[in-house]
Amino acid sequence: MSGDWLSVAAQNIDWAPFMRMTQYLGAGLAMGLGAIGAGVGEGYNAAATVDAISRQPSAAGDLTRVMLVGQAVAETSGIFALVMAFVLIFLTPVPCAEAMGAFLGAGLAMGLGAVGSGVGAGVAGARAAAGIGRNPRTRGHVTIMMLLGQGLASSPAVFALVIAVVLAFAQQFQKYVGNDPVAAVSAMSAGLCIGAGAIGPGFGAGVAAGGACEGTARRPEANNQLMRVMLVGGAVSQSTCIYAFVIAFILIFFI
Amino acid sequence: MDIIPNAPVQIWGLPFEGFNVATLYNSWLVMAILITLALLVARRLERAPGRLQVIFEMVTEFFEDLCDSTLGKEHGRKYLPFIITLFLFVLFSNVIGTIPNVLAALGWPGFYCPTQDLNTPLGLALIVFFVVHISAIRVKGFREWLWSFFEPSFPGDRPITKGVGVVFLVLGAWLNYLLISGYARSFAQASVARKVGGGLAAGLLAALSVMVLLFALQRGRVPNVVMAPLNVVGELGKSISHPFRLFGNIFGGFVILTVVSHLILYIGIPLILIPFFGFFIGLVQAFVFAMLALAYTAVQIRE
Amino acid sequence: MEDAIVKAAALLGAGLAMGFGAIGPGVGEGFAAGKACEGVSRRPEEASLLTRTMLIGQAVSESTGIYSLVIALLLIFLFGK
Repeated sequence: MSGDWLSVAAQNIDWAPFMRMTQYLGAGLAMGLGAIGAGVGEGYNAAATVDAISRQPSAAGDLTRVMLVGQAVAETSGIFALVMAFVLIFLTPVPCAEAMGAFLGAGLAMGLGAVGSGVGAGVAGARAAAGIGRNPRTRGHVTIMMLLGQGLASSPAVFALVIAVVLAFAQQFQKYVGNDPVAAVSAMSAGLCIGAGAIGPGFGAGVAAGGACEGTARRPEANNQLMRVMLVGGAVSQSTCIYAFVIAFILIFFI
Repeated sequence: MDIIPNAPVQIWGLPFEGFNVATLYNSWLVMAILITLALLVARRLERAPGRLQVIFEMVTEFFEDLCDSTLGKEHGRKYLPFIITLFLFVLFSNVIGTIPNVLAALGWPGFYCPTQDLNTPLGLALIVFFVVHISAIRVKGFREWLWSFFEPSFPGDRPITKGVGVVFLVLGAWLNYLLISGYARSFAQASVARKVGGGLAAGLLAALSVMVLLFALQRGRVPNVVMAPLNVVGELGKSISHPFRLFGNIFGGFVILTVVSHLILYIGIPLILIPFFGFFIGLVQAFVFAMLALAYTAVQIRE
Repeated sequence: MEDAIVKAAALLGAGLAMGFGAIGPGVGEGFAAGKACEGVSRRPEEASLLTRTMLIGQAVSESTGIYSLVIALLLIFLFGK
């Protein structure tokens, strides 16, 4: 560790109150930001369903059922954020500067990381509802396509959760127990990196899934080709999220 | 919570410390299962197929259709066995971790997804990388393959585009030199010999790119040297994202199951989550892995 | 030896570069994939052509993500170590 003023200052502070503060702040960030995506996505899904019912009242039962299934999946990222908030509140880490950075990073990772996936899964559900409203007979195919697409759209949130869990439980592996300011900032930076990096790909995969759902409703016999294009396109659009995941791993394990 | 179970073992008297035994044994198990199934099906092929044969025929037909439509008839047949093996291996590797340890009485250490260890997806992606680029060289020829890293190139038939191309060429050679020598210097802070070596390598690379440029000028196109390092990084980026996508999803499922099980002590929710993350995500990611290998090949060999 | 604060800033910059740099390509490539799906539903017989075009377009729109990756790696390994 270098002997400059920042490192010396980090040695001479009592971190215990700051640690509790960071835990609560991290939990707040995780749940507060994490609720945005699921909320917006589910609302969008519900709005599209209402719109479709007003056009096609006879399919109201089917549409409501599909909406509830889609909303339940879109809620996944919100539930990840909830779990992470509980973990951050109830863990009892050794108070130190690095753990502070790690907990703030974990909160940012899960909070920001849940936004894109929640909105994306909601967009997929909304466009599935629009498709079913136009062509109610294709309900089965569209629902399967919607679930596949939402599963794909929630994998950025899964990446964010992995980094958040690694950051939160790092002290179990004797990591983040010192007061090096560089390590503290790198932990926070890792969380910010994967959190922000998961926003775009989650939303993008959701848009891809939405296109596939509408396409299936328009032409159910092209189901297989559509599934293929959606899976490849959605997976490729996640590669930037995976770069962020790799950078976060480097920031955690190679600094 | 042991994320990477490491156990010191001895194999034929040699210590294998820090070696992930669970990955090794479980990937052997997956291979054994796949070979046994394939032999069972191939031994008794019948006109009126049994249940196992129907499943295998469905999978084969699906991928045959996929390979043919993506790669064209003549290449599709060649890559079918590779793609289908990749899919089946990844699928079984993703699913095997969901089985509870029913073989504990026989001394089996426990079922564990080999894909949950980063080394397995990395190895598979390395295979795909070599297959993609070697087949690109075989189909397009070495020169065209090399050229693909200097795209988008400038047509050399008009003086304006040619001039812009030459400016880009000089600029790019200089930029490449700066980048590479900067990199080499940062790694070579330790010794003078390394610094000289790095400088020489950077100079050689810059000279090489200028040579490629001059050679290409004669052929009527001016390569885009500024894009060359970015194209190389982009190509490597594909090979980074390919394994990490699989690893992140499978490892993420494991992390979620572990955290949720610790939080609520095995009530209810894991029973829903295990099939979701084990089978659904496992199947989707296995398909995505094989499909991306196919797509990377298609982009390289079909222009 | 450099100041700890400089290293910390480089690492924070790497995280910011890759994190925010990943948003745009992710959304853009998703739009490409969505439009490709719509195209396939209109003309299923052109699926392989559409897929290839989509992949090429995505590769181009991913280049900004790759720039972010390069910058993040440079910041980490040149200035953050």
